[in-house]
Amino acid sequence: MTEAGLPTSEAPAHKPFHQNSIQQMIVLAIWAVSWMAGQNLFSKMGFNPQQQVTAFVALTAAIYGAAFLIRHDWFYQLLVSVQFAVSQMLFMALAVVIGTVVLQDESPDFYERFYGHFAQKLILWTHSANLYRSLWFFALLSLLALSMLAVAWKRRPYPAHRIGFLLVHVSTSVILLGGLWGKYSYVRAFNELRTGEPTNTFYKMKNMRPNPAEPYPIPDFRVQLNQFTIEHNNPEFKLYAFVEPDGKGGFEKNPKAYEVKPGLKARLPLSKLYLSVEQQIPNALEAGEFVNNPNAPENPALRVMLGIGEPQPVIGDLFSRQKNAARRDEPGGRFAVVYQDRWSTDLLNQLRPRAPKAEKIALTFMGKTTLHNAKVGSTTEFPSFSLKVEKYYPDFAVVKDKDGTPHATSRSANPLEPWLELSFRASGGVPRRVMLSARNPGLSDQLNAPNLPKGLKLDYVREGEERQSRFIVFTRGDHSIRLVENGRLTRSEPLQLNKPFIVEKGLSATAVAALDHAEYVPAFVPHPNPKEALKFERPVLKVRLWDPGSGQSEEKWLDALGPDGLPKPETFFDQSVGLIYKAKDTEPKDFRSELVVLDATGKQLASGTVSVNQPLIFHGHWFYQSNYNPEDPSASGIMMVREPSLWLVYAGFLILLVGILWMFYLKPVLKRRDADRKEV
Amino acid sequence: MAQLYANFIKAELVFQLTYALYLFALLAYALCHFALAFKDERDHLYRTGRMLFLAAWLLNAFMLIHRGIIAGRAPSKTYYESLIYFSFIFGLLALVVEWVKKVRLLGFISLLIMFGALTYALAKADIEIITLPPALQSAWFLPHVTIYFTGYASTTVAFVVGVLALIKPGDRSFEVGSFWARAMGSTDVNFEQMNRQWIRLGFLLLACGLITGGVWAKFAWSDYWAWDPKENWGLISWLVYGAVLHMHYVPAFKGRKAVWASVFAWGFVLFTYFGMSKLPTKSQSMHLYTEPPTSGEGDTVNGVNKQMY
Repeated sequence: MTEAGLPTSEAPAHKPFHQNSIQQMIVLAIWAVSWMAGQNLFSKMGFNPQQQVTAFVALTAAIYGAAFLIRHDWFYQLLVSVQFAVSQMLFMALAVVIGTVVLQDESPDFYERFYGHFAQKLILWTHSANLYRSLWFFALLSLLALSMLAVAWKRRPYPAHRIGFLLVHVSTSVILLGGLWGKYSYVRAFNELRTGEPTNTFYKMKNMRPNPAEPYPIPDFRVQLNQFTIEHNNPEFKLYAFVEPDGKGGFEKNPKAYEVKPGLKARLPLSKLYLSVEQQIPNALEAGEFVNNPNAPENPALRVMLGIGEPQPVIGDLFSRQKNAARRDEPGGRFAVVYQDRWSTDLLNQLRPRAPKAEKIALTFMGKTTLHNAKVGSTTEFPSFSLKVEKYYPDFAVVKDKDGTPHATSRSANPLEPWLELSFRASGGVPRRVMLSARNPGLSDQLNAPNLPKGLKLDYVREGEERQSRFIVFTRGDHSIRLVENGRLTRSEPLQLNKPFIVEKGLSATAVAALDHAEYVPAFVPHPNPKEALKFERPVLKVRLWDPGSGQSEEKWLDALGPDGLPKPETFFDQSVGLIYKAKDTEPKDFRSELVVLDATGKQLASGTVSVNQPLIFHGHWFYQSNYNPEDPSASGIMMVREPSLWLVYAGFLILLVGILWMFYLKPVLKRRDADRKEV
Repeated sequence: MAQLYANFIKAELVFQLTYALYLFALLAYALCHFALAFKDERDHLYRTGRMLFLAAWLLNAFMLIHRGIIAGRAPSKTYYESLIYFSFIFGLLALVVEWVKKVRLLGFISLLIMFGALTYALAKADIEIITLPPALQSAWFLPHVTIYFTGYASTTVAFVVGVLALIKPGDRSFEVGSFWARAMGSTDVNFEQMNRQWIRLGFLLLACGLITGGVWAKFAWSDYWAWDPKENWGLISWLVYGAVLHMHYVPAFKGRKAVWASVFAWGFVLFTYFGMSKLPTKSQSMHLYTEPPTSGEGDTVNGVNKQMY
């Protein structure tokens, strides 16, 4: 007998099953495949996942019970065989490996595309797509737990030095029991909370998305968001030198990072070039402009000054060959200026007011937007509510009756102020009126707030509509200025620089410069306000690179937060060096929601700050900071999790650790003590 | 090689020094083994090797602490940091075992592993200190990582000792004065038993690591276990070591076969550490080490990619 009390005698020539690893592996595989088939059968019978687990528990209990009754000795010998334990652990490890190779929880289409048709069928049949929730995986786990319990039973009685062995072999069953209980009791739900609006309703999550059709009401309290804040790291801007950019605008992996100090001068690693910082501006204003560079590609631009009754004239550049920059609307919306290479009737046709190509209702719920029919009389059904379009007001206004009650009407048939009237009906509820404005969505959101569920947003979208009726068109080919009103050419003049084109009193447009090869030359100046100038809000650097050998040098601006908020990389010396000036990391430091828990009367029961890593726990409900809405700073996505089985799992963890410690490190001490006592 | 050289040039000075010292220590150990082959004891070479090993480790410790202070957190976010951390912990264990047991070959193999780890760090070259994303800013970060890395280091010692046990099984002894007798140390060490003791420690620490990770994950991500590929591989390597521990009680496996199994088992630890980015399911992992951004377009890589931020 060995120290653990196991027989060590030589195995006979013909190994019995409980000592034959290969046979054991085959039987484990058969056991697993049977449960794959079993689960497929359950699915065909229409069992939902929870019913499948229930059926599994009942059936495995029956199978193990039957095995004990029919072949008691054989089954018991197998369960307590150490060799079978080794087989099981290795087989279990192999099963876990499969789930790390096959992508989990994707759609059948995905598997077809990613792995091909046959493999997709195999993956779905073997439940490898959600392996860790599959019955065959549970079957392996249950057998392992049963074996460990059997071994724990066999090793009776338990003197002090053996307690560790008992704890280790019981712990898995405790953890698995906790997991099984969790299968029935675990709840994960989500809601986007808004400041000052208490709620007890969260929406259960399916595949990490909240499902509006499955609300979960917390029975005895409500939670309210008092404040949501995003905390940022102090940005630290560094200069990164890439000495081997590959010339495709990409940069190799490992840049040399420099802390930017005034007068920084360094030799670039692995290069003959030197680098120096010529100027550092923490908060810069762009002072660059388009200049005519005859060597640059043709890019016709016209600088136009608008006189619109403001003390400061508005100046902007129009680019005839850039679709999005060839037109600008005057801030007051009274006219638009356009720069084109040529005048044509096609152009005239485009410059007329146009009805929308399509009208849609955009429905946004928890960050996801879908488009729906906006035709009067149409109804769209959702899992938990329906929307019907009742009326259309092209030129919405509110008038009062003789008796003073206000009601909605349309002043004209022109779509000057288009609104839609909808009725919103939650399942089992009464219809509620919802008004949507195409031009002023903020106003309609306010009006509808009491009638729509929290977090649901509706918008009236008119796609492809042209509302502008007056255009000033500058053309480059024939040097002309034309006024187009309601799709008709009403006036034409030759284009002369610095000569105002007067539309009407107080409204004018003047071309002040024309560039045929416009090229942007960046330049920056410090913020004029000394208080603002020191804040690192738009940091830029002017850097110079030079080669002392040839005497060549290049100087460029590096913008850490360009107009799009992203750093602008620059290359030097024929793309042999790339430089980027950027914030070391732009990750937010933390997200915090101040939550309070209220009872039905509004009395505060608890409060706390929920941030990542720090949930608020109240009466078994764990509230987590989950996400936030970049468009709504008053909202915070909170995930609610209930897991009554958690303590049992943790108890299992503790038992396991204490057991291992006892078995490996306390047992030798206890045994020595026992031996000493015996000697005495 | 050219890339490694470029990365070495760009690395911080303390790393360059540590790397060089580990290399010199390794060379000293290699030379003293070479000398042994010619029946030349060269004990001063061995002593020099050990002193260099100690010096390199001290510098490694300094680099780790220095970086931890600058970053204001446990330096274990990137491969570069974690490998420095690993070589620190493994170096400590190996140094102690080497010092106590005086097994030259053990020191040599350990130095080879550490030098390999730092070379990998150099190849990855994710040297930039990165601020932790919110989910990693937790009091659990340091204990979880330290426990896990001590677990990795223990299984690595078990691997090294396992290799030695394969060279010198419990019942074998080498001719006095021969190369192997000197390389394996003057005292009679039972490597098989040592191998088993280190696996036990590794098994305990890996379990501890899994559990501390679980408790932390419950706070950060709402689930103590999410079947994340890294968690799964942690479990796989733990199960494999569990199987190895049981093999000692199976007549057909005990002895040499169990030692072989423990040597192979280390491969699972290696894959858990380095293999995650090779898995097809890597996009489903929240545990990838931060890799440096490949383009300069302002992409700070978050490192915890499927997490909610």
